Amino acid sequence: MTSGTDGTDGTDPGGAVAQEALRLAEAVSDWARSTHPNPGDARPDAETSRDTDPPSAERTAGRSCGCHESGAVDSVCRVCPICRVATVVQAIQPEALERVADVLAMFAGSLNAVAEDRRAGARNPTPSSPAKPEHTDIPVSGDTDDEGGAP
Amino acid sequence: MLPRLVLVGGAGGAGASTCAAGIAAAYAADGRRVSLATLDGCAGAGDLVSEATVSRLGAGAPRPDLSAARGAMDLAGLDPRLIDELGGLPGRELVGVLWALADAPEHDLVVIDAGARVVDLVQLAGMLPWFVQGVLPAQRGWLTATRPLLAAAVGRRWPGPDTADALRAVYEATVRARDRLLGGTTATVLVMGDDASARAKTRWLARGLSLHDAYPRVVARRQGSTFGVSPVLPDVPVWDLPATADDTVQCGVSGLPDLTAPPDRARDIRADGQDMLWRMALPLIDSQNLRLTQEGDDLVLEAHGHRRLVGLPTALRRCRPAGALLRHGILEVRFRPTQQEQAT
Repeated sequence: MTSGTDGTDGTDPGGAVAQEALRLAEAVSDWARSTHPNPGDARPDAETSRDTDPPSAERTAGRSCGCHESGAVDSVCRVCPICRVATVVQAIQPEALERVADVLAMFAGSLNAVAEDRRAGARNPTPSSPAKPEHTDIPVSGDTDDEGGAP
Repeated sequence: MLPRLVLVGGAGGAGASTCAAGIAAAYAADGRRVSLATLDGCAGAGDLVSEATVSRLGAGAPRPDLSAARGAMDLAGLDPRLIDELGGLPGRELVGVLWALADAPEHDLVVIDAGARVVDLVQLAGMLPWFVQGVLPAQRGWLTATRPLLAAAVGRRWPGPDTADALRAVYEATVRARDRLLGGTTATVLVMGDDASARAKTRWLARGLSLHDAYPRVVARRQGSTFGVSPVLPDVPVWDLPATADDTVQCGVSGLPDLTAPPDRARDIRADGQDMLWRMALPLIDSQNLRLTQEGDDLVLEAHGHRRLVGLPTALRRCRPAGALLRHGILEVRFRPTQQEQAT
């Protein structure tokens, strides 16, 4: 990985994290395909079998994603990473899904820890998250006697 | 303008329930339709006035449908019973009164016997819309835009338009309750007890009410009360309750204090050169005990253990606070436009 993608040169590390997330999704997808042969296969080489028997992948993806509602064609749905992950998630057994969830939670926790370490170690700390409201104390002067009364 | 709501509070044992029942009965005898709500489940004002003349606010009203909330909890992997148990925690009476107030008949006079929890009630009334507004975005559109993977994974099991509509209805109900309670046609009556700490307790409650725009219109006390002659709250008249031998308040409307004119709740924005001054009434609070903070688009006021969060007007959200002056019961917060704003 180059310094341009890991954010160490000052670029936004969000892109690198997104790429890693996509790679993780791909890896989960490959793993699920090898473990559960029945779930739908969105790869182009599965085109032949799809002609005769629409795989469950399309059906499940159609149920779980919004591509079909927005008028997107199936080919878009097949390459859409969201649809592909959704297809896998729909097809995996709940028990296996729980294990995947555990792994993902561990992975997310690790990413958080790494991000926290890097933020703390940065020479110029990044500004606080925009979601965190700005906090400003306002000095108050005036009456020190509360008997000022009602207006 | 006649009051649409009379809020009666006071420290425990001060006689707030007796006072609330007397006011409700007096207006009912005068021909007004009166609804009574009480926060005290035991020996509240409801036990002191006939149900034939004064109806009970919220009696028989349908309970809010929590099935959507339970479904959302289940979906999130949480125990749906949490929702039911939340409804059993202390404080549910406050929410129940506000919920009933939101749908109270428009022309009824509502009398609320809030007792020692009068500040809690007005604080919750102000905060509930803020809380509900905070969870409003948590609907499908928001989830799809910000967490597409999660939205795709949960598919149509995620609470859909029905839940969004239900949340919106809850938000509108909280706004109606807040506007009814703090909208300017409410008269607050604070009842003062007769014990050694009565004065301090009454002033503490009054400060909380001041912070929440519900400063007392009248201080009531039992006849023959032994507290001193000096007014407990500046510029607030004292009403000697016409109590009878059986410790009830019986009087006609003519015997009631003037509750018709709402107190001056000055809150406006004035230009002062380049600056803007945001003014609000804040009687009985001094500058040394007031802590003022801007958090995002909200102004947080803390005084004497009370706290209030006020949404900033849109015009001031692009300004920076430059100090505040609290004088003669009026707080002026000075806001200075940012350089970017000045350039435009």
